[in-house]
Amino acid sequence: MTQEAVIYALDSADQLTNWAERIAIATNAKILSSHEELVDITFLDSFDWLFYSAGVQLLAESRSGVDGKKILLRWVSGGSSKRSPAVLYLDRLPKTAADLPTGQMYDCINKQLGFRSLLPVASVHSRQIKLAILDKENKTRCRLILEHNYARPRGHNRSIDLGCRLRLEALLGYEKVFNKASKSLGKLKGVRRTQDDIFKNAVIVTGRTPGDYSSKIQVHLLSEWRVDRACREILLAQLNQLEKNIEGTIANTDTEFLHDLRVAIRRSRALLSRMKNAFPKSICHRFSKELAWVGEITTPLRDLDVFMINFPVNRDSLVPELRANLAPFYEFLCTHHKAEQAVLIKHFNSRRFANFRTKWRAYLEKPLPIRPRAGLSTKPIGEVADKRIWKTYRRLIREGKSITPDSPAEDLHELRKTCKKLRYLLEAFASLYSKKEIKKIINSLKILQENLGDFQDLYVQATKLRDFSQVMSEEGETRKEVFIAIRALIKNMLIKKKLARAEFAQRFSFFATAQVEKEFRRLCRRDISRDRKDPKKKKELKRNKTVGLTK
Amino acid sequence: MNTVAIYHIKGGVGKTATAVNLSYLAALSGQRVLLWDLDPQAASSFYFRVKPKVKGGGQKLLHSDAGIFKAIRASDYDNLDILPADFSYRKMDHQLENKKILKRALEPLREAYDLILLDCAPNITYVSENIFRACNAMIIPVIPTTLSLRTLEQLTNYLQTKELTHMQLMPFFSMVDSRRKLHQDITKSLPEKFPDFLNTYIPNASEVERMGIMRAPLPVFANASKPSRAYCYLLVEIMGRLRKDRALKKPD
Repeated sequence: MTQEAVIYALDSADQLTNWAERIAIATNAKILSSHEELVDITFLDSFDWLFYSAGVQLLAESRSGVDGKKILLRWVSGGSSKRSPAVLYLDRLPKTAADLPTGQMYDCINKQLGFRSLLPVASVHSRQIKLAILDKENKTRCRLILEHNYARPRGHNRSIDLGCRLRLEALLGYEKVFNKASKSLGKLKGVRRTQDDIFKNAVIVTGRTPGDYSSKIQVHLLSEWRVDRACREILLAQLNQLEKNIEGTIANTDTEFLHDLRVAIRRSRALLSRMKNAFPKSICHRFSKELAWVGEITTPLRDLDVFMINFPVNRDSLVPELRANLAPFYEFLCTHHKAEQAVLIKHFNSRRFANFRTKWRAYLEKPLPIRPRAGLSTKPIGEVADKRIWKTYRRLIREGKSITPDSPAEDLHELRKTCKKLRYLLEAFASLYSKKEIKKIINSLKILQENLGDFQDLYVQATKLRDFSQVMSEEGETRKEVFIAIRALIKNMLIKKKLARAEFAQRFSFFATAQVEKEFRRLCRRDISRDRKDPKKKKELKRNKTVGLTK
Repeated sequence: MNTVAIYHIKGGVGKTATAVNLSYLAALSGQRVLLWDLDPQAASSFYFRVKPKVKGGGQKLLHSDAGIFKAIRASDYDNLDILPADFSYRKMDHQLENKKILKRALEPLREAYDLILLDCAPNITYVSENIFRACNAMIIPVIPTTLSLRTLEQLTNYLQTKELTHMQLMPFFSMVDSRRKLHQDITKSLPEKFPDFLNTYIPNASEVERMGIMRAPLPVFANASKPSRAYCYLLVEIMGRLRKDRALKKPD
């Protein structure tokens, strides 16, 4: 197995074959191929750079290979990693981890990517000459690969020269040979060690930069900024996120495009509702309505996405005899997914959607009014964010405490919504606070959110499944065994829902602790002595003390 | 991780050729493979051109985690590493009186590999008893001759008496000459007696002998040959059985 690799940049004025001869003499290596081999390299990643963020690369090398298979998939972890790269020969490029056989490659990709799609993010054409340092038995002890790389951006005819380089690969058990070769190369003229990455260069050529997209809110606010300025910055970032995901949603190459688009919508709605006094009433009303509409038109497709993503897990939750009976249900999902996709594309191409985008952008990019009508607009964002977060936290605690084992599902749904609002506020204003504190608080919130999410999702999915089976029956599905399998699935979901419900009290008690309250107080600069002076809050504090919340 | 021994009491049945080809093909299919050449004759190491030398000998290898990692050599092929033979392995019997030493020695490799193949020396010794306890499956090449069958019976009886039933036995016919009447008869009749027999058999072919000259696995220099394809089918069948076995053993 390859242990590690060192890259050397070469003076590309010289020809590759000349370099091969010089390097062979310097390192006592043998040139394995007399001619240059042409290799097409495609770098794969998710659209939101999951591999790049994790410091790994997945590349598919296209050449006529062993066993007639044309594609060599190579998983390369960071330079410091001692773990050997996974290698796999394939007939065609995989679209998801599920397209791969079980093994190291599957494990590596699945761990980072899950159900997500692999997309080509850059491609490089490479002319290569291979060399090897051999022993007396002709055993390879070190590999040297000479490359002259070119990047060809999509839609362009001309390639861009990325230069010549040499990859020196150490093999397990033969590290001494590698070190010796490395020393010899260090002395060679025109050869210099480099950290330059052809991946980065090839991506830049396409007009993007690695890591240029993240669904996280990356707006840096200052606490003295006016509320309307800060909110506009965040909302504009959300509008950008929404627009970046439209093309992918239409192409349907990854379910996460639609997911991120919907997250941008929800964040915008949460911010508008929590900060409504920062905007004129008419603006708030108009765009809240439009944002709700975008949420609404994307819901049916997202629901189907969720069912399709969870299908393998749901199917495997059934007894083996029933699993095959779910195949018609999957077909049903696929057919309806196509139909819903077409409906959504129509909506995306509608005048209303175009108007919403242009007008929303125009408003967000408009210069700030000097004397705004909305009361909250000119206040400093730091102060207002403190208040809003604290208020939403208190509301969450209040709503959570009012939930009893007999409370209806709607109450839990309301609580989940408050939870989400708090999460979005924390994420939106994260740049105003210490990273460490925000992370800690979000982690505590996540525990509760997960439980509420499970409960609500299972409730909605079970209801949806009932509706789907009704539609299937109306569409002419008559096989009893299919409906039996769906009913079993609903039953499983309801059992899981019950478990999530039973777990709620415990999860809430983990969140509603004096420690978490202390953390929120510290974050929002809430002084407990100040609250004690306020008669209203004094009463609340007393109540909290009896349940052990406040000391 | 699967630990699979390629074993037979009898010598010259094609154990090493099987180990070399299966390890290469498994690595090609994307698994991280380690082939441990346990035979002091060092034939697997020879085929892969790896020097049959382990610093500190078998003793150090078996009793130190670092020792086993230091002894591993990369092969010329991706995903495939070799733990070479050493002449000191001839004395391994004395070092393996405790029957679980080999199993313990393999433990640190669990994370690093998906498949460990043990190319074993013939005979039943303490080393074999250690191998039986270390592996979860045993591939047994059987030449369709009377003597080879006799030793297969000896082996299965021995495993039953010692209650070594945790591993999957996967005998298969090796070096089959379909022109010979005896080979034809035995390949037809024996699987009825031993239902575990794999369906794939490896034909007797000169290409397999050429592995010694080429010093490479068969698919590297004779990919389209009959035995090379047979080894591919054999690997698919073995992996299928291992997966099935794992699924059955997996607790709910």
